[in-house]
Amino acid sequence: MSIELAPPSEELARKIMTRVSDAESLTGLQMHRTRGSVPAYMYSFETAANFMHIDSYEDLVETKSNAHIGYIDVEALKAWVGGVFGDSELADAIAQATEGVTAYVNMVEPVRGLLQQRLAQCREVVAAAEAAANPSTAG
Amino acid sequence: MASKGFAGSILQIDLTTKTVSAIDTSKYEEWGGGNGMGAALFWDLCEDKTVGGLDEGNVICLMASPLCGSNVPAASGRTEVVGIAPQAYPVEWFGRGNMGGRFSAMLKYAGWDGVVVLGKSETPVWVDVRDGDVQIRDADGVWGLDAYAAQEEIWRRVLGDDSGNWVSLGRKRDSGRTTQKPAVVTIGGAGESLSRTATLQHDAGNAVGQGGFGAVFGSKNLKAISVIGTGSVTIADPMELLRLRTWTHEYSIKGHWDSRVAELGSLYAAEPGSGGNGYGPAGTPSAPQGCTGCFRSCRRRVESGASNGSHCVDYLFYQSWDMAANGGVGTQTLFDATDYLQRSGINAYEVEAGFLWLTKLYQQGIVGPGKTIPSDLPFDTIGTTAFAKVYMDALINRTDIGADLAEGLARCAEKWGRYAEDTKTGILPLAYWGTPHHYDGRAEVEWGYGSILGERDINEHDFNILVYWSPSVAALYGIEPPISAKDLSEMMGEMLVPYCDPKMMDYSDEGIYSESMAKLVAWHRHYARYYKESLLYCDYGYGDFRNQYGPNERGLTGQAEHAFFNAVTGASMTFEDGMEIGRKIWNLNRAIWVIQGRHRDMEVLTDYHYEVGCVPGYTTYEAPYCVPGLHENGEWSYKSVAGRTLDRAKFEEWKSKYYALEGWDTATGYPTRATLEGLGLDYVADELEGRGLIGAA
Repeated sequence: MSIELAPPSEELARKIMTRVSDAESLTGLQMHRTRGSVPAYMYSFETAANFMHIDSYEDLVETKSNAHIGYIDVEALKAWVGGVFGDSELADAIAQATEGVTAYVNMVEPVRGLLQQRLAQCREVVAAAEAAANPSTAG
Repeated sequence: MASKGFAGSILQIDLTTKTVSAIDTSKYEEWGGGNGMGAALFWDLCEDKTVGGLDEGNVICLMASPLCGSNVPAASGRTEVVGIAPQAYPVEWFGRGNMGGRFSAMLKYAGWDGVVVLGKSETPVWVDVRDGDVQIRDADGVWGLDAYAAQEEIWRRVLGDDSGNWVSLGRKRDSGRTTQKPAVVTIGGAGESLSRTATLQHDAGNAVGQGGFGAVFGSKNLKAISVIGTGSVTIADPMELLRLRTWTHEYSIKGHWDSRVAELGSLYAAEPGSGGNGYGPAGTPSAPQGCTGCFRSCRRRVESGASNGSHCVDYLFYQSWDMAANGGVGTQTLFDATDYLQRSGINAYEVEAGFLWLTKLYQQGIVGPGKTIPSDLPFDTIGTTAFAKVYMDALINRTDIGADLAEGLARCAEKWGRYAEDTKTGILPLAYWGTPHHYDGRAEVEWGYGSILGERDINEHDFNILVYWSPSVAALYGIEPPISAKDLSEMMGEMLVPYCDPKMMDYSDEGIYSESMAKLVAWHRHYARYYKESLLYCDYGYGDFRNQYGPNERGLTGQAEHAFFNAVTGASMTFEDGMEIGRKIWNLNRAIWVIQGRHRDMEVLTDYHYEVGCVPGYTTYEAPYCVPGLHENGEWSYKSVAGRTLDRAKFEEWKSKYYALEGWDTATGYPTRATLEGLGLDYVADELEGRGLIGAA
């Protein structure tokens, strides 16, 4: 399933591109087999968009040295996206993409894809707004 | 005369008197080697066991075992270090650390079973061991060098221009010449500046990380110990050793390249290079690298040499920061930060936990320029090589907040008035005696309990893969774990002699407070103290319980450990005999801690274990944490216990069960005379009784 998000408003885009406070941060978990799991504090949407990850089952159980899991609780992610950034469309899209999905491995690609899509949209919107505000510096 | 496998002598160095002598190993053979032998030596040689780690009265022992240098797979290259550990908090407990590489093997080839260092030199020195010739040399031109440069300088001083060529250390019929470089244990800047987070470094990526033993060296004005040996290890039954080595080869991936099974993941059977740095720039050429005599070759060397030999947390400490700063991919920064850590000789766990804690405080406006805790460290650049270097330099040079960080995170937090609050919320992830959180003591209790009943993070993964990683990864994949909880309990019930209790695998909310869990913790401590910390079997190979290449998928534990020992030494030990020696070593360690002030009331995990549950996305260490147990209706299953907290009262009740099992006084946690005498430790009982510290029967 591929969900297309509507382009965000400039206001929303700028908000998504802004770092958040500690109280508004999201905590993920970097999971390695022998080192244990370490919290990953995320103070930006971009960090979260790049964080979700899961290597192959074979690599994880065979202890490939770079095999790891970038774990984010998807319910917490939905609440963060909707509550901190106010991006209800994205939160709803995450919910739609993960409806009926129980295994994290099946959530990573669709959710990460949505986050990356939104991130790219925000960069475009902000870049376009900056170019419009400063036509002399536009390429 | 020492048994086969032993070199026969332990090197004793008194830095105060600048004298060198030999201790007959046969007096200490019963302890095996490593921790047991080191603890026994410490007991005999440390006059005041209550001194601090940086006091010149501290005695530090670097110990080999009869297996070192013998080609016993996964047991030929490790070195155990014991002594009073400056890092431990709030009491500098008699502690331990362990490293891989080739130092212990080289000690054996030089004719030594270990090195004991007493006293303090007035000026910086290094110790030069060339077979039986031992010199204490002026460290001018070595002191002040980082850990890599110091080793290179010592190699140059010992070998001159002959590096890579035959070097003669004297003429003997079967020894005296070598092409090897000296095996050097050294400190970096952190040890020289007496940081409690200082490591002992050896070759590229080997380190005694926990304990702060680098500062012990520094406090003694000891820069390094260099050993080059040209002898060999005498094996009682060489053919049996070779047979065992061939047999255990079948339990490794190397016996099954064409029929690999990626399931369950016995560490013994894991792929070579699998513990080494696999991050950094994509496509970096690398090759596996291993310690002396080991087939596992779990480390890596990369084409550039950066982060060579570094293993697990040595490079993972900065991985998430590097990736967060670089769009989710690893970069050269990770290699460079790793190397800087190793050169500096700083404990990676302390740096990692420090980054987590200080990031929180920085983001909360508590740490920073002009803040409550003033600091000009550029926290907004974390994830860069420059930040890693600035942070570590501040710690070494004791500048900015580095002056406080150098005392270890626990003491730093105490000084800042933040220890209680931040260990209650968990943003300061110190779990056991000032050492950082490794595995979750609320969920995987054999880890947490074993650590708090000891003196540090146990860092022993024997059960971790079976009871946590394998079922948790399976849950994330939505599949069944490769072994059912019931089958796991039955298998372990057979293998965990002498207790043989399937309920030792019960990590349910009730099971974690049971007598069966007390048995599991006792088994683990006894097994580790002897087989892993004394005979020096590597944590990356043992314990091997379930192995996808073993008959009926059974691993080597219970079959191999004592068999190799017998082949090397000529002994006739059973596996259970070794477990009993481990219990003896554990009790000797316990006695030393009691003399240092240990009491059951102190054996409490940090507050977040009892206070902080799971608020997904906002608190530490939440995720699926699937463990086996009789979770519901008396049936075995795996269940995620993420978010579980420990019940203080139940934990206290459990401690009483544990003490009773060990034969200790449940009111104090002190060993009883009957227990100690039953282990042949009458003299220990006498000492404790003389101090009013013997447990009531």
